[in-house]
Amino acid sequence: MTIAEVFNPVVLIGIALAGGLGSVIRFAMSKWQGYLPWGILLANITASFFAGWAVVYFNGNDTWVAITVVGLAGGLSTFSSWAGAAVQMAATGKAFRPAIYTIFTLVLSSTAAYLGLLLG
Amino acid sequence: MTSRDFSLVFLGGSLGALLRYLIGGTLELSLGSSIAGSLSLLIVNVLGAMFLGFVNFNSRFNSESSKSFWAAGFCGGFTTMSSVALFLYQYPPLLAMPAAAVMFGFGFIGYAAGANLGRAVK
Repeated sequence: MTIAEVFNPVVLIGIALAGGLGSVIRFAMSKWQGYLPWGILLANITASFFAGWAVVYFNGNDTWVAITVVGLAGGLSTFSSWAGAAVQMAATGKAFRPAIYTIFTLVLSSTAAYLGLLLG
Repeated sequence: MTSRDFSLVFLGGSLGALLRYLIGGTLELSLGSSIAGSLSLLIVNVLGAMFLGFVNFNSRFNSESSKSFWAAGFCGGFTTMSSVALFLYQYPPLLAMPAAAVMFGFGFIGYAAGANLGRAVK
């Protein structure tokens, strides 16, 4: 990548708008909670599938890859919420829950990304 | 959840996603694409987890507006799980799996450290 490509205003504005949109969708989904933070888990799985799909579908178009993968999927998914929930679950003294949550997140998100790559 | 909350999440998420992209882009320009992708992923996710811990436990971020903008918006938009999932297929498993384990480990420790710092700083 060149400096002009990194600082392309269309890419910057597109990532900002798509990142904001993805964050708003995640925020709405995050209210679905139970034994695990199901809404955040589903947001991470959905975003991983979409990112895999978009990488293949928009292959060769760096602007759209950046907007969809870095912006929309990046905004929809979150790592910090996983960390926060895992630490707070561990603080309650039940090691099983954060372990299950971490395994679900890693396995289901990576499987979804793989399916997205296949179907893109 | 009010429309104000959604607006603040949108603004924070935009800022976080943009900053994540700029960190990745700047690293790629200076280090090359082979190492920049994995390094920027590690940096944004661990820093973002640490900052979320700080925001969640520091008294200055107590208001609902601060939580919407900084926690749900900025930290959520700054960090990413979808890129971690893609990362696992972009690199050989012997490199990707330990790297992901390190990221999750540091993310966990980073959040706890940020939370402790947030409690300590008045």
